[in-house]
Amino acid sequence: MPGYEAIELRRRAQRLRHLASRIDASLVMTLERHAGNNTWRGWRPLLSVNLLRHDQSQLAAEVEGLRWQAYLFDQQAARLDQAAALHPGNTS
Amino acid sequence: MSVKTGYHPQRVDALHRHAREAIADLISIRSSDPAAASAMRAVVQARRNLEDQWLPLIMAIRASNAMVTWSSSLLISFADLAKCFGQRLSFDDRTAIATPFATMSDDDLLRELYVAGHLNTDGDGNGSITERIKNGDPFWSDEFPDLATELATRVAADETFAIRLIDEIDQHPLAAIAIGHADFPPSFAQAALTGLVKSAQWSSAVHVEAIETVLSQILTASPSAALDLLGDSAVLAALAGATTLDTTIARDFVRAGLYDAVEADRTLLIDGWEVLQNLTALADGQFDDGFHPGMARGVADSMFGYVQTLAYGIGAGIEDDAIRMHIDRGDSVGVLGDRDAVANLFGTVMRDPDAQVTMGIVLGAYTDRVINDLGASFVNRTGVESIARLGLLFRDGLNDEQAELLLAAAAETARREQIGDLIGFSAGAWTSGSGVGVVTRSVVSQAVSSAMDLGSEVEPDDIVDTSFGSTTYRGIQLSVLRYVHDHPGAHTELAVDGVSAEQWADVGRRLDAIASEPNGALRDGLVQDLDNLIALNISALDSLWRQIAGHGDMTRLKEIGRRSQS
Repeated sequence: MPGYEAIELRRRAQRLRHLASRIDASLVMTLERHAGNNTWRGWRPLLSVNLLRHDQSQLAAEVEGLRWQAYLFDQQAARLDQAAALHPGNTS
Repeated sequence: MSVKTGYHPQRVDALHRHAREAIADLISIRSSDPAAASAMRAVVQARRNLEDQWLPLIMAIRASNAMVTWSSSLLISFADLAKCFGQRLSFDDRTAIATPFATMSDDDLLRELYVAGHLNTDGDGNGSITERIKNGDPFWSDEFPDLATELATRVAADETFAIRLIDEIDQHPLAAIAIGHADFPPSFAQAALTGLVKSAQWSSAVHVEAIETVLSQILTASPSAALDLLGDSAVLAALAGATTLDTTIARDFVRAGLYDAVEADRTLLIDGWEVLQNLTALADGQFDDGFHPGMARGVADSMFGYVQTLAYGIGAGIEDDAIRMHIDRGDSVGVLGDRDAVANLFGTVMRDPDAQVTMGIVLGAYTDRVINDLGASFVNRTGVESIARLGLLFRDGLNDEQAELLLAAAAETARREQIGDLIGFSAGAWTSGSGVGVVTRSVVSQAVSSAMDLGSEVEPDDIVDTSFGSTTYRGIQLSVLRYVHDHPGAHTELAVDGVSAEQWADVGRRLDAIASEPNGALRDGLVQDLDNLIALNISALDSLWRQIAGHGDMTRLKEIGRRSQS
């Protein structure tokens, strides 16, 4: 039976994946579709769109980071489960 | 690298909606997990960038959009934008994306304007606001342009705000100075000028700078708007009586309205005459020391356009009491004033020495124009005497002999320059920035020099008469002779075909010598010698001249000697 720590890690992993999906699907990630050259042109629109793309890249990297962290939590939970199976009396 | 600038209004509206939804979406993303801290910082940063960078830009564009009707299908080009409201939205990197002023309420913004206008400028000895901006002074060089831009944006987008600012313009002269640093709607500049000049705070340097800024803007952007403003009696009176206004700016403004606007659109001539009519009434009983020099010089400059119809309107005889306004050679459209009042108008204009010289040049150029326009018909047709009438009208406004001498010298110098083409509204003589065309600048210096020569002749009666009347009379005589000499084809019609080739050659040499003689006294001697030659030896020319000189106005002109003798 999984211990509390493993359960908590999996819960956190699940929340991080949910957060990653939420960010990945957020409206800001597709905002540039409405800000193309057929909407506005010029230095300041260009700067604004570039800033948006930078933010989108940052968010995308954070999404990958969240998913990686969720994977690590799951791995850690699995190791805890294995340890608990090998040592049934030491469940935390 | 150049980047085309423009936007599609409906799509910007949609972008505004999507950006706000994206912000709301980002706000709804939450996590308290320590492992999500970095991701949440990125979320917050993205939200702030949308709030602080995107929304102000979009809102600025949408605010400007309220002023104009856009094409729904085409991306509005920057050129179209410039036509609509003067490149107000220049999305380059010279302007900050967001300024503190953009988030202020109207009350706070006006408070900021008041404080800047009253506390940062009064009596601190640091020069005008324009100088402070050029010198890179704190606030003026960095914040004031942003403040000006924000004011322009709100004035364009919010009529209530614009009206409030105009109502309080005497408290906010800085708003008028801002017109020189951001693109305000032209109608705002006109309304601001009206309010500022009527407040008559000529002792306030900021107010005067504000008026000068708006005058400069209007005269450049819209001469017809300048004419509209001159048509406001209160504005006209305020400018005529101004005490501290920059002379060049005032001159250029008056000329822009009275001359440039009419040159661009001849249907505005009636409006120009109405300004002169109001000015005639203003001069009657006021302005003993003359108008503001800028007003005087601007009116004098503009007379190049008006003088033909003015001379036409003087009437059949100089005793005619009313001087009428004409748009062309048709019926009159009203009365400019009675003769004394109009003479007084020009006298008031000519209290200023520069304006006096310009009026002399107008008279000289008009003389040349009339002789050449009439051609060989000057003997039979009405025309030459109009020069005499005009000269007498100008002369009667003057109140001292020295002024008459200067007027006569300027007229004679200009006549010899044969600049009759400057007369009318299509000469383009006043396009230079200084307000004095290249040709007339040289005439001015010669005229002043000639006047000094005339004024220095202290021997009274035993030398050539140098009075205004005599000088003008001789000028007409010489112009006629020059015309006849230069047009052999007209000799039969003028009944001077009996003059021999040798005699014509002699007359031509003498006319050339007179035209090129710089010394006034020597020139008068040459003129007298030519008079004698014609009277004694060339009877056909003598007869021709007597026909012209026999007109009553010409006789009167000749008979007017020095004031001390009359």
